[in-house]
Amino acid sequence: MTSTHISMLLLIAFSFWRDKEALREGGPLSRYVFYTLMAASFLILIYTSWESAPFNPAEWLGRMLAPIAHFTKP
Amino acid sequence: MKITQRQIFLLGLLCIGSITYMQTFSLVSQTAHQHAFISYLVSGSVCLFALWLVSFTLKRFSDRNLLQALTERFPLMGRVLLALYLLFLLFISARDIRSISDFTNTVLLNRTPIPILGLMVTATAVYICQGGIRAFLGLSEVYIPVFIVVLGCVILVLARDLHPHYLVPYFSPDWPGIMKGAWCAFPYQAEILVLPLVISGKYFKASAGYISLAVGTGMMIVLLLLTQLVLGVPLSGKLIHPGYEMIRHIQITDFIDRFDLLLMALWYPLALGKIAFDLYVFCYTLQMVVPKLSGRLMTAPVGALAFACSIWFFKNALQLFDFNFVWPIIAIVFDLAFPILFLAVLRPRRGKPKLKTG
Repeated sequence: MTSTHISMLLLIAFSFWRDKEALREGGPLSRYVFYTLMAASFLILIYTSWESAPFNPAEWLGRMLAPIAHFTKP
Repeated sequence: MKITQRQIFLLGLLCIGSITYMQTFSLVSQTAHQHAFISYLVSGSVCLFALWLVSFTLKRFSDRNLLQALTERFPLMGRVLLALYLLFLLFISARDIRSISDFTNTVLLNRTPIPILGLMVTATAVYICQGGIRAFLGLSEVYIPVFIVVLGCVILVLARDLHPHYLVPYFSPDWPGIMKGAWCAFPYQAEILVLPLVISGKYFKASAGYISLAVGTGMMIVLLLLTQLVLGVPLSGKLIHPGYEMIRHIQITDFIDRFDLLLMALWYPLALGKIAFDLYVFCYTLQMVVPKLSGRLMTAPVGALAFACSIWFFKNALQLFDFNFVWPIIAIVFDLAFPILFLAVLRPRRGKPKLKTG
C-alpha cells in the first residue's frame, strides 16, 4: 500500500507543478478547493489502508436499500 | 464550441457503449437468461422516455444547457439539487474507475495492485479531461467508428463458433427475469442523459441522442447475443466478464491466438474516455454550483477524489458487482425523477405583453 501512497503523492506534486500558473490566476477560492480536495483524497486513501475494517459506503447503502429493492440478487 | 449531430451521436455512444459492455452482460444473463436482449430493449425504452423528457425541457432554453437553466431559474434550490447530483456523479466516476481497475487486474495485469492500476487510469482520464470537450470528440471520432467496424468483423470471425441451440427454448420468455435484467441495465444506459446537461440547447439535437441510444443498445444486444451464443447462457451468467471471455475465442489463424489484446486496445481508450467524460461533467456541475471555481483547475483534485472514493466505496470486485442490484434505486431518482421534475419546473417565463403603439 506504501507504493500507492507514494504514487499518489507524486501525482499530487506533479499536478501542483503543472497547474501552478493556473492556481495563481484562478483566485483564492479555486486554490483552497484544490488543496482541500487533494488533502481529502490523500486522507481517504490513508484511512482505507490503515483502518482494519473501514466504513464501506457502498456496502452500507446496499444494506439500507436492499429492503426497498424488490429486484434483489437472484 | 459548436457541436454537430454526428458528434452528439458519438458522445452518446461513448457514454453508454464502453463500461456497459463490461458490467451488464453477466447481470442480465443471470436474471433474464436467453431473453436478456429483451431487457436491454425494455430499459432502452425507459431511457428513451427520460431522454425525451430532458430534450423537451431543453428545447425551452435554446441558448443554455439544463444546468445553466436550472441555476438561473432557481439559484438556491437549483444548486442544492446540483449538489446532490454531484454526489451521484462522484459515485459513477468512482464505480467506473474501480470496475476498470478490477477488470485490468483480473485479465491483463494480475500482479499489479488495484490501487496502482486505479491511479494510472485516473491520471490518464484527468489528462484527457483537461483537454475539454474537444478531447472527447477527437477520441470518439477515432475509436468509435473503428470499434463498430471491428464488431462487424467479430461477428464474421465467430460465425463458426455460434451455437443457436444455446438459446433454446426461444419462445418462453421469463418476464419477471427480463424485468430484473432491465432494472440492472437501466442505470448504465441512462448515462446518456448527461449530454443535455452539459450541451447547450442550441446544439443539442434530440434526434442525435435517440439514434445514439438506439445504436448503443443495438451494439449491446449484438455483443450480448454473441457472448451467449458462443459461451452459453449459464456460463455467461456465472462469469464476471463474459464479453472478454467471448473475444478470447477469436482465432483468425494459427499464429494470432491473442486477438483479444487487439480488441482490448481498441476498447480501452473508450473506457478511459468515458471516465474522463464523467470527470468533465462532475467539474462542470461543480462550476455551476460554485460559479467562482475554475472547472479546468478542478479536474486533477476531482480525479484524485474519485480515485480515493473508488478504493474506499467498494470492498472488492464482487461487492461492486452485487451493488448493481440496488444501485438502480438511486439511479431512478436522478435519471427518471429529476427529468420529470425538470419538465415540471423549468417552464419558460412569460414575458410582459407588449403594448401596441401608434
